[in-house]
Amino acid sequence: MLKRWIIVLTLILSFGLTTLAMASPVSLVLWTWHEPQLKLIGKMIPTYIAENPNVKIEAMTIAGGEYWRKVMLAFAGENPPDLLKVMQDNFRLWIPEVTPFPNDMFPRTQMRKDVFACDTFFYEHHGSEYAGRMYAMPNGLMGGAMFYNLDMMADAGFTEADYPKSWEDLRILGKKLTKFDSKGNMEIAGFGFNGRWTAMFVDFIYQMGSYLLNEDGTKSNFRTPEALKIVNFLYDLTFKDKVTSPLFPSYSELFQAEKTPMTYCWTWFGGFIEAMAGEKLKWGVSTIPTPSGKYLPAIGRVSNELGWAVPKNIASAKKREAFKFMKWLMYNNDYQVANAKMLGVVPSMLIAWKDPQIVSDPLIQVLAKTATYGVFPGEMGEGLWLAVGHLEERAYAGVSAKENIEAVATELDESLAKTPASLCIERLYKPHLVELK
Amino acid sequence: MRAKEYIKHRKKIFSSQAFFILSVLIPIICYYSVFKWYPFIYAIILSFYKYTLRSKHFIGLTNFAEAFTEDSIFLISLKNTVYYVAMIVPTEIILGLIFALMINRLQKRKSADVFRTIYFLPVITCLVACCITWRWLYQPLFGLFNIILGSIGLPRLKWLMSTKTALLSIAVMRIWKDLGIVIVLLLAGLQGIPRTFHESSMIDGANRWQTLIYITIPLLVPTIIFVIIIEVINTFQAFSEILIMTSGLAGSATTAGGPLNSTITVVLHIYMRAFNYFRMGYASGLSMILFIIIIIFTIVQLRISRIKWKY
Repeated sequence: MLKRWIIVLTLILSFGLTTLAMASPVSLVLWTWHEPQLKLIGKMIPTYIAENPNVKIEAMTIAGGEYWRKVMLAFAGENPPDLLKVMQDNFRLWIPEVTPFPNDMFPRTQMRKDVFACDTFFYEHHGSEYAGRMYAMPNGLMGGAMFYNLDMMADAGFTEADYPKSWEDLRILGKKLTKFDSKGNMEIAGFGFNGRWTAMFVDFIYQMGSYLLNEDGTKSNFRTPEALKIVNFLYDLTFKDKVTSPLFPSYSELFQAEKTPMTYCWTWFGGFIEAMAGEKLKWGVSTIPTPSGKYLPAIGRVSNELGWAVPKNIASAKKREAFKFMKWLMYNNDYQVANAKMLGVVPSMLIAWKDPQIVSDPLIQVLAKTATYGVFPGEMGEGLWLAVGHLEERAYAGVSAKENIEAVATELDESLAKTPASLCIERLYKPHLVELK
Repeated sequence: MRAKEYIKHRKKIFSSQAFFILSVLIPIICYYSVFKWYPFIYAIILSFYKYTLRSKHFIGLTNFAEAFTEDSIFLISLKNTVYYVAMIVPTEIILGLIFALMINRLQKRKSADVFRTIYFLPVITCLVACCITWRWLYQPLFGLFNIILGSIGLPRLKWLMSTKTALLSIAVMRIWKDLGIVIVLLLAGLQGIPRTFHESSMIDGANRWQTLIYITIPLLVPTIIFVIIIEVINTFQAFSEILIMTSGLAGSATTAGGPLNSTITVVLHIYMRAFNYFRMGYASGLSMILFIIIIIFTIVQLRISRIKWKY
């Protein structure tokens, strides 16, 4: 008799607890380093929860520099968030820690139809190790652009028609826009690109039809006439043509303080200026100048920005809900449009491409014009950014252009000897890889 | 009977005292065990491993060998750190002594408190705020220092943006920041010297300079050595000011410890190996090397302080 009662009680208790567990909402924690994106997600969450009352989502930002430290320590401590923002640049760091997208929820055939250059960015081009599975949410394509302060340009007598198309145009316009005071001190940098040497150098390498690394990603490809020509051009702009001063603060501070009418940055800068300066600062945008003024052989580097990934070490119920939330975001037009405008990207999801807000956005249109001429290098490793990052430091320290590029090459070679860039796919680039319509 | 009662009484006192001592010590022991001793011992163990957060395997002394044979930046950071200590500690002691003597002369006048407060203000100000402010003061075009130099007809300096002046510029900020605590410690030492020594030297006909050289400074030696030990340990661990004042200079081009590693210190190097490259084992090995260097310095200084000075 007693045994029976125990069995009945156990059954009732287990049923009750299961029902309780099923009724209590699944809590998801989302991490990003991007404050504006957090705000956007914050706006989307209530709508999602209204449709899915069994889910709770807590989104938080972790400041840029600290983000990857915290993520890696969370992986090591086996307490990662349920959704974490990831990026292409350090693919190798996070890919072994995340769950591939489930094929039943994200069938490859469907993804091919819905996601821009899906195979290029998600299935084929990251080496055989990770081929065939999608690991992160598609976000959008980003690249470099020129930004202009329209009022300063107008005051100097220049219009959109004067935007530089070639390197020579850039040099001439930069010189014309530069202003000095009576003592000869620079007041306005015609082309304020302080802090942008790294990104410009990489873009220019591709513009010259060259590559950053050798074929197997084990050595730099900087001991070339092309690389030296680029470094000489950057030196000339700074020290001979004096379109900026090495003593000036960063391009971003210069642009916001109206100390430069023209700068170079990646397209996220548009959303950044609007967030920082609001409507006070009227800005324009154009494509990056190339040596010949044409887009071939390439316009520069592009990156397929990623959204979120789902870590391996979380409960399967949470994984399922996390993927459901990502799918909802991927197919939500409002989110896609707002996200593309905020980040300055051509949206990965094709559903957003015909939206009037996307079609009329000048920045996205500039990017769309040149995106198919952009080289997507995949992961190149931190060593490349550190080594090329020293280019500007050495130039300001008085090192000659030739010695500088040799030092960058040596530094990168040492780094690649320890960690080869085996996931770099820059040599797979072909212009007109896909057609943008 | 009396003896029994006495023993009982003693036991009672002892148990209540023991309880009090334990209740006071246990939280401290817990804190030190969790946040100091355990990480310290674990860091010693890790220094013999290749640990990258994902994998961990024993490699013996390889981390230590790598530091001295393959890691050229470590040797640069070691050299920079020694320079940094050599610039800061003697300057702080000399300036601190001068200011302490001046304030000491004011005796109990109200102005003594005012000066003490003024010199101590940087010590209690947040280091991050100080670093950001000084970074702007050093800005080559808009910074106050170059505006002053320009106004008196002197050439502008690049300060933090030059490999020649960057470390010195940071050292100046650090001296400004720490001087207050050095003054206060030396002042306490000065006020501990009995007035009779000074009075008898005056009676013997010694002038102020002779009193300072033959009476005050020798009697202040134990305090000076204490200050030197504290400052050497602190300065060897220089990190925050370098990270804040050198990251993103030259328009975000300069990496922390720049330009061109001219300001990288050992602790900053350890931090970058650990948290940028996630080489925890190697970073632990570097920490052990730094620990040994600081221990050697401290032992030498303590030996000097044990010398029985005869005046």
